[in-house]
Amino acid sequence: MALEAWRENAISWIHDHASALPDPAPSGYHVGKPTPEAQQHALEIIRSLPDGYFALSELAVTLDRGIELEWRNGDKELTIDVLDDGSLEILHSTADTITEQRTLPRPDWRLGSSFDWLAS
Amino acid sequence: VAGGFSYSIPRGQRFDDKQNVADNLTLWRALDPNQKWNAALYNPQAPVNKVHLADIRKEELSTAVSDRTTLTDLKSVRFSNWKVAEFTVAEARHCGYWAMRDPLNSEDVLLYDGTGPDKIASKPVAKKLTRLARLL
Repeated sequence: MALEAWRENAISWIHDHASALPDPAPSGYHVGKPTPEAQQHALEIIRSLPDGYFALSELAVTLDRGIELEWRNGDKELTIDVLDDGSLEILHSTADTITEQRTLPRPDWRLGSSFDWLAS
Repeated sequence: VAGGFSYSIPRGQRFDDKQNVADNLTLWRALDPNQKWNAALYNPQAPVNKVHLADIRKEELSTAVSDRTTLTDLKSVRFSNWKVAEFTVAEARHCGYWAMRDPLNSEDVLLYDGTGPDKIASKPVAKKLTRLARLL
């Protein structure tokens, strides 16, 4: 089955654009290439989302060689930072106020509770 | 150098330099246009005129400072056509940042999270600054 357009494009962006960024970044203002661990775990998360889930509202290379993923539903925001070592920092915010923060060593089934929170 | 990055001020030597970085100065953080996927193409909820965590969350955040350069120079010469996040030193300190002059670049002020200056800035501190920053 074909991937949804947003998901296919986001995956291509990581493969074609993010992985081609300079390494190291040329200055403190530029972003550099995310680490292979960050790319791999960000791709795993994007691929693992159920069909029909919200499209990403933000996908960005972080200034410390990770990848940030963000989804929105009304005033709720779910942000997952995949750090340079591949570990995850998860943030739930409502109306721009942080309501929950946690970390995971890598993507696993416990991420599901965050995706359920956003959709509820 | 740590984790492949080189820092202007080594870990362990960072502090809030209130004597040399006044609260009333304006700081500009130029935002690399290569940083983001175009989410708005696929999601109408994607905010396009907002400063995000990923824009500013860093262990050592370089910013251009208003007593050494101008916004016009920054946007026309140093970072042509880049978007810029603007905030004052007082706003950054209110969020929990420490400010120091960059010893390697006289036009820059460096920001560190005062709750952990030798680590990547915490999300609550960086998030607070995203709410105060103006996108130019």
